[in-house]
Amino acid sequence: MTKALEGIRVVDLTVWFQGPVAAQHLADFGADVIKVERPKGGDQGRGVRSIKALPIGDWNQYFLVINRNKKSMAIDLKKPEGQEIMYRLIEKADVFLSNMGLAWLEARNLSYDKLKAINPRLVYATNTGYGRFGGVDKPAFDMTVQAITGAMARLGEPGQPPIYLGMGSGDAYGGIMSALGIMLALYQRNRTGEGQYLDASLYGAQLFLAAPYLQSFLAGNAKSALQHSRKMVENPLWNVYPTADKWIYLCAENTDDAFARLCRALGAAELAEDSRFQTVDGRRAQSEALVAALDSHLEVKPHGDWLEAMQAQGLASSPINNLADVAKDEQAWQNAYFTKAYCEEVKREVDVRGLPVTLSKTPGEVATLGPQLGQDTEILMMDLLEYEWDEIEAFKAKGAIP
Amino acid sequence: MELDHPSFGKVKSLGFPIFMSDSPARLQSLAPCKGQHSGQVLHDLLGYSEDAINQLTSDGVIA
Repeated sequence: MTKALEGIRVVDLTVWFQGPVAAQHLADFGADVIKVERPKGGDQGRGVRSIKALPIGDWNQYFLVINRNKKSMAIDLKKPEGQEIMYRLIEKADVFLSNMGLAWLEARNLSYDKLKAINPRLVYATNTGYGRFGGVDKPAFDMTVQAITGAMARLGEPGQPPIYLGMGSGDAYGGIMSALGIMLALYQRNRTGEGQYLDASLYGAQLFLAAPYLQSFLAGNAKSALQHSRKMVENPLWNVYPTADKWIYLCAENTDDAFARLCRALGAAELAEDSRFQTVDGRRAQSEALVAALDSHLEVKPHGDWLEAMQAQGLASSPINNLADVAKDEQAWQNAYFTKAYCEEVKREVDVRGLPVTLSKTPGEVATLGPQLGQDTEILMMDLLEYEWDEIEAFKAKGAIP
Repeated sequence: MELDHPSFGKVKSLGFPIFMSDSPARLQSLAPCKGQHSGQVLHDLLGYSEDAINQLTSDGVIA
């Protein structure tokens, strides 16, 4: 079956998460992604178990999922001979992607100017921590970046510690921004024949993830910067509530009609008649009392009963699922948001994140999980880069490749 | 970044998450008013005549 990005070759010089996941999106839709790694240890994501900071499971899902559908070449880029191989790769590439620091790239003669001179059609993409301009160049992790966006500071109950979104959201979203930037630049290149430089940062991505609150603040709503309590909200009909088993999120407008329907769903005739809650303004002004009343009503039955009753009244609501719930959700499997892939490491089929975009004619695919370090070095040097075997031996003797 | 809006004056808006060296993003205008460009698109892009556009407007098909 044809793939959307067939014929696009990506040189993927990335480590950890944001960079690799950007190239993963391209690889899923058919780009020929060649991951270039240092011969000793490769991408640090391969060794993520040894730092014992992340829960991994019995196979290295951290590395293997975001590097799926890729090839791997091991090249020592500190050596001039290694750079020579890289340049030949760049001649055959459409995209160069790296989340190494700009100084790191410069030191290995891999700056934009250098690679553009070799291939003017090249799209040169970097992932920085804090953006291309402004001079901030300190270590960037999902947490260090999320901490400065204002998003953490406004989450949590007032007076309680700020809340980390805790899902690698900046890394994941940064990867999507990077993939989007690459597609934009490829589109432009197909029109003009010229590549360009682009950067998508963790910081930029997280600011746009925080967009609704942030824009509200920019528009003059100072309160949007503050922590908000679920016990006292603008609209008690749009809030999280406990039930006998799990929390639910109710999303209804603060109208008399929606309130009447909610009271019917809850079988709460006395609430419907409570003089404090008869108007939009009353429900807003008395939100603390109304939230407390809804809490005590909802706490007595399990969420399934309430969701059914709310649906019958045309009210939108959802269970607050945990990961075990969503991993079983048939809707997610039906849309290929989850899929299965064979894992060499444990010699069995494993469940993986699938494809976030559904294309009718050229859908994505998870053909293979992440490659072994350097598994394709020799074959690509022969078939793609057209080196002779004695040249390859010479590169090995110099230590440019293992 | 800052932008002038016809109804609201100077407003602050989020800029762009991606830097591109040769084809940078730009903010030309905020969201349009409802149907602001209906007539223009029908005329310039789709080739409708003034009369046809007036008819569609008076029939309530476009606004």
